[in-house]
Amino acid sequence: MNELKRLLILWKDYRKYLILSVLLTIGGSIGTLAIPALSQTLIDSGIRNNDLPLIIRYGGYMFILTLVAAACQVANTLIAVKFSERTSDYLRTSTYDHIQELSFGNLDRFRPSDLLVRLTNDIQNIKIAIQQGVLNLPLVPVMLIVTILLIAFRSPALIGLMIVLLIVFGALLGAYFRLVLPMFATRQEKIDEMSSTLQENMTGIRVVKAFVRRKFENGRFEKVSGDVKRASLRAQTWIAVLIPAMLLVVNLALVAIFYTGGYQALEGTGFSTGEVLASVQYLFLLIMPFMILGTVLPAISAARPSLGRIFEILDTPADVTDPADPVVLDPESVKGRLVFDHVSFGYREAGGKPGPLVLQDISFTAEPGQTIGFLGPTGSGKSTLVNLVPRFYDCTSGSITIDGTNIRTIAQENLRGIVGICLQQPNLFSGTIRENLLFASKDQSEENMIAAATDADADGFIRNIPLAYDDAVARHGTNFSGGQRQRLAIARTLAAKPKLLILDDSTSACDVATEARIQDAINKRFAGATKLLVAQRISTVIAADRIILLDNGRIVASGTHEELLKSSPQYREIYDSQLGKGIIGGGAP
Amino acid sequence: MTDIPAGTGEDTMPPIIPTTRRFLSYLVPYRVKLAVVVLLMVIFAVTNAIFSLLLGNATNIISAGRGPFAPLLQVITWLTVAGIIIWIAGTVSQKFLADISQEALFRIRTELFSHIQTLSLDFFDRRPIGELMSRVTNDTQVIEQFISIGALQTGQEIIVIMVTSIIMVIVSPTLTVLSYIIVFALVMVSWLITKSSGPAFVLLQEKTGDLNGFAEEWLSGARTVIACRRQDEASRRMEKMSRKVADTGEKAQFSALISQQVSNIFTTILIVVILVAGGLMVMEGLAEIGMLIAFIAFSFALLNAFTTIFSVYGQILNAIVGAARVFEVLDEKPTVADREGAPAMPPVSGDVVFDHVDFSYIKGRRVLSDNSFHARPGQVFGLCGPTGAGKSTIINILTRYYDIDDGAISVDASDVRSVQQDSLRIQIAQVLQEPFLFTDTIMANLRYAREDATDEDCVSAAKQANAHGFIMQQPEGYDTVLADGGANLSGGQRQMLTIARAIVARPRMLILDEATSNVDTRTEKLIQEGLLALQEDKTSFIIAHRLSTIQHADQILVIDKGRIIERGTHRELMGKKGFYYELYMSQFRGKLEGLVSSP
Repeated sequence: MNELKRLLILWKDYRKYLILSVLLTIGGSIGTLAIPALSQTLIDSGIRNNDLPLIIRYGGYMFILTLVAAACQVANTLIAVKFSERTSDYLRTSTYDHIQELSFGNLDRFRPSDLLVRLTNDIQNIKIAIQQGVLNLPLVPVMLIVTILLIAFRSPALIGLMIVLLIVFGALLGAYFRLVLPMFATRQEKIDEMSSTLQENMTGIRVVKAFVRRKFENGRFEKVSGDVKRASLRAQTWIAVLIPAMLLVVNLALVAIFYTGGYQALEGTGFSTGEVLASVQYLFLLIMPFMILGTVLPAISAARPSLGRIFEILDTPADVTDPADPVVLDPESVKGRLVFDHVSFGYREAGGKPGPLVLQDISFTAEPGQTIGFLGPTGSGKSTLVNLVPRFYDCTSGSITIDGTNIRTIAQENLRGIVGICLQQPNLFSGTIRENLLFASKDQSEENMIAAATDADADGFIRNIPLAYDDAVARHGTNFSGGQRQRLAIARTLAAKPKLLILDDSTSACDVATEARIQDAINKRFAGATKLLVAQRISTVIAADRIILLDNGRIVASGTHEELLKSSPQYREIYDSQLGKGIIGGGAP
Repeated sequence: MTDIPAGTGEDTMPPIIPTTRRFLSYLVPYRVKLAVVVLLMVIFAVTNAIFSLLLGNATNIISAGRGPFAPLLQVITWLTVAGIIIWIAGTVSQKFLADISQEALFRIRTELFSHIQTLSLDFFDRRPIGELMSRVTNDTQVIEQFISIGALQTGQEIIVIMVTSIIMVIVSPTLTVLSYIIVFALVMVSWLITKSSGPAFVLLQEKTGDLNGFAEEWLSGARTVIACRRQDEASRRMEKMSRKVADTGEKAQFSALISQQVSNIFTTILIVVILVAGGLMVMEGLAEIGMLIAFIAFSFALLNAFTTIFSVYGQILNAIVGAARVFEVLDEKPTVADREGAPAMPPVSGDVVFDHVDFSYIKGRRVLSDNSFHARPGQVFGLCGPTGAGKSTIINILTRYYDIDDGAISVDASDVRSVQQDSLRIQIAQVLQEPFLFTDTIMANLRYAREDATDEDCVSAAKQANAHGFIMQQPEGYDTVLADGGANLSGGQRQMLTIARAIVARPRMLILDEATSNVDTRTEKLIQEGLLALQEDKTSFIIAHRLSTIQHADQILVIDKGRIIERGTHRELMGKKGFYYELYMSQFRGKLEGLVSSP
């Protein structure tokens, strides 16, 4: 109900349209509902009395009323469509805008795939519900009340029948909601199960083929698709029972009208031919509200949780916010001295409470021009650590400063113009290579782009593509190999000319020789910048000015490669396991 | 707004008659039930018409004024009987159609799935998984909807139109003509609306597709957008696309919703015309008043039948498109097919010969050129080289996931193309770079490698692979279900399970694509031990991303741009100071002082 209220508030300016829509609905219904009474007069006073002018006059009335009703309904349709489309447009853009304000922490909890479903399916549900609601919902009470009144006043003999019918239709509608809709929901669940079995089979097709388990997979699929069959059959069997039953009720009601009306007509106690005919039409008008509810209510009940999910996004505040009065750092004059001072961090949990600490008591200083390598097993906190620098997350305790300024006092936009990070996931966007490379840069010049691409060892393969820099990047960059995507992403980061450069395992898909070339180029052109390298491969960080070894969120060792080989058994172990006992030259022992 | 040229849809329209015929062949097993359904539909339509005539009869009796009740009672009894017959015919035919459609759907789906299982890997390379899935789920679904809803309605309505028209002509040709004029006017108007709303819907679909595509890409890249400070750009683009969707949506939805109003208008017009025209006829003594009532009912049925067929028409077209897409997959032939009468490969010792092998995934784009080597039983071969050099491809053709262009690959002196591919593949265990596990129990995952493996086989394999320890720590040990293909395990644990699985297979040969996923050094050691246990006495091919993994190989093949450019043991290759030496040395980035032992 709260959600509905919010939606109504959203519509504040459109209230007059809503009122107009209800008025149009009433107008349209009255036009439709007057037809039976007119046809009654036409038959009884016109045809049966051979009154030709009356027939034509009443025919004319009916025709005009029909047109009026139609005009009202068309106008109402226009309002409903406009309303639903505009509201969903508004919800879609404002939700998406809000998502753009969110931080990494929010995105971790919402997950992009989930956000996408909300932006597409949920908005679609809401749209259909609004459309159906505006268009049809007001019709239900109007038609029901007017029809009941018409029957009560014009054919009171049928009141008993009417009450029975209302109860039966209500029961049928109830059965539809209580029994049939849940069955369709079960069926959907089975279909989802089948889809996930299917997806697993296709993703693992190599494994299926490697172990020659075709028959086994066929059996597995037969089972889930058999479940779908049975669930569908159950739902459809109920439909096969309900729909003809509805028809039976209508037909029996017709019979009842003829029985009651006919008896009275033959007795001469009431009911004319015209009245019988009008009663038949009332019967059909009486069913309509139930038919409408049958389509509108499912739409509305589907939309309610959708609306909740949309408002959940809109109500989520960003984890990281800008200070009221931010310090402004000029990117040109920043030196890039980075200090971590007893920094601890825990990911926030769903309720916003801080979770267990994944980084504890991290302190180090990176001087301008230095390269710091971060090494450690998965889950040791390397990526988390570098993500704190551009304030993708705010640290839980301790402080991080750049040139002595606490990064919390700098606006995110400003900070991220200074800190350039190449994320572990090299996301490219559909468009041209040029657009992608210059995605983050102020300097949109050709020279800047080519220099960045050259440094990232990407210029070579880009020039081998027909349109070179103006060639297309497919969605997610799928037209490039993993190593190429990584190099394009590095180039994108370099083109922004950061003072503090972070590469988060950005060369993992490149071979060591390529990686070495990229690092040399960066060291040359970004000699003055502070560089943070996160790596799983020891070769990536081996040449760093300092290597920080992390384990379980703590710094366990720190120093140059040579120092660590001597002082840290843990480092030695990694070295041995990756580069093999550290001995080469002539060959293996 | 861009103009959609008329007939955009038709361009992709599959041939209707062959597709329909082939589709109908799936209904052949249910022909008896189907015949019953058709019979019931005829009964339904005829009884419906009789019902209307009886209503007219009753009206005549009533309009005659005071009289005995008995004749009316008789008509009412017949009306009740007719109503019940209509009910039974409707229920039974719908139920039967539901049975037929679900059975047929099940058959098409399982047939499609098992056919896909026989196809070669190149088929899967060519199509994104999402598209394949949509063929098995959505396209078959469209077919189901067609049988259970579309066919029922069309069939029924066509019969209704035929039966009703015949009776109408018999009762009053004049009114029949009048009714038909109005019905046709409605059909024309509806057709015009559909014609105008059709392109609007196509456009809407296109714009919605654009928006969804954009949202998908930019949401999954949301972190990059933040890192690159392009949130405003994202909002701007979204706003533009959303506006477009709303604009086109307004047009499309309006014309779609308006058609409902149009049919309402025509319904009333029909009543008015029949009442007025029929009224005149009654006054002239050309008709009875009851006939008017019957006629109104008839023309309602007619109007309803035409609108239904009209609305189902789109569904039928969709079903044909869906069926054609399904058949397209069913017609795919596996590119790697066994020769007719090919013998099974007997248990091999693992003597592998590549003889001047050329290979390309896509014609004309050679991936491997002129590769020859000979691996003797029990030897360990290491493959290394830059990314994209063709290392994995060598593995793909050895296991015959793909057939080669030229040259020959033989195992134990039989050409791999001359034997049944399954019989060869089952003897080669593979541990792939991305550990893939099924959403099932750990035990079921291990047994996946060999159907007749006992629980003991699986447990002892897990022990050899160093996986037993962590398996026992899972809540239900070997019976723990791996959620989402093992999302509840670490990368290293998943890797160890795939190694254990490979051990269960009792392979004669082994392929290892070294994992790049990082694990801590202890786990790494456990994995290495597991791999050594697996390699024992088997001809093994190891694709190395870290050169240390293959230092002890009997032979290292250095591959660059699809050719073997160097080969030899680690020691020999280091002595050569060539490509391998460079690759090896670049790992150390000059940090070798004091570490290099004497050559």
